[in-house]
Amino acid sequence: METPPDRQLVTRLLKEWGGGNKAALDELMPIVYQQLHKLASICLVGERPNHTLRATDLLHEAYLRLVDADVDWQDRVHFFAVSARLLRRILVDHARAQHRQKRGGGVETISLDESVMIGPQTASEIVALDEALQRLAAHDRRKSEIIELLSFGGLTYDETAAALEISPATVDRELRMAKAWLRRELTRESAEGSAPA
Amino acid sequence: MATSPRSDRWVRIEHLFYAALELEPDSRPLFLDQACRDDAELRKEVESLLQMDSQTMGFLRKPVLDAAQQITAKEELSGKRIGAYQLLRVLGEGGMGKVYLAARADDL
Repeated sequence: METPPDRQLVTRLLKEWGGGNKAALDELMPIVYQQLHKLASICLVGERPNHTLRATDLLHEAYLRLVDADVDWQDRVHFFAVSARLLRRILVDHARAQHRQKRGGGVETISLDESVMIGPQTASEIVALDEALQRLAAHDRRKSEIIELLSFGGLTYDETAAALEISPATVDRELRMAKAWLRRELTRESAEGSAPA
Repeated sequence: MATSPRSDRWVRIEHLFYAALELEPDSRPLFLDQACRDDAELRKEVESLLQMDSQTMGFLRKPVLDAAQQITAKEELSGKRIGAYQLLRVLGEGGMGKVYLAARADDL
């Protein structure tokens, strides 16, 4: 049973990092690892008994990008909200690279940072979800943010509520319509057989 | 960060969606008759959302989990580039996995 992170410690580290102390990020890193590892290890238990879940590579990429990020860190939940956004970008970048390679064919040399790591089906789903979320955000930013935190961020409902400074009841309510809207969009898109760009 | 305000139409759709959910399914058609009157588009919007109402979260989580797992299935990354960085060597391995030493590729 994992120990929940020490909130005071995390808050202090985030403030220090926000204040320009890069070393604080090194201390935060294990916490980011834990968060994203949790994301990668939820469900699918038993489906791939021999599959080793290595969140390391994904997290390292997130870490590298985070080091250069210039954001105002307020507390732990805001940190993970940013992680969710980052993770979404990382996954979408990889998913789009998969599509580019597929279309390119031929002997085009691609750098290893574009090496295909996501299968075509999952890549399509990621791109479709990302694009649907962008469309949702145009109508209703908060609903889109809730979905981003829950799906890409792997945050709990309570953490999502805290990150957005709303009540869990509001999260539930917003989520209900957001999900219905997204299901409709994603169902429609796959019915039309559209290939995401 | 500037955000576009939600449109009147969106707010209306949302209001009707939640109002309809408060009612028994049998009562919803009549409610929508009265609420939407001659706005067939509005009715279609709300009805299609009601049709999609469900407890399921799987469709949102699964692609992300699958993608994360597929990306992290790589066994060894030393020597590879990720974005602007070149991964040089493994620094160590702890409970959380491997930590790599990396440098910006343009510095090498």
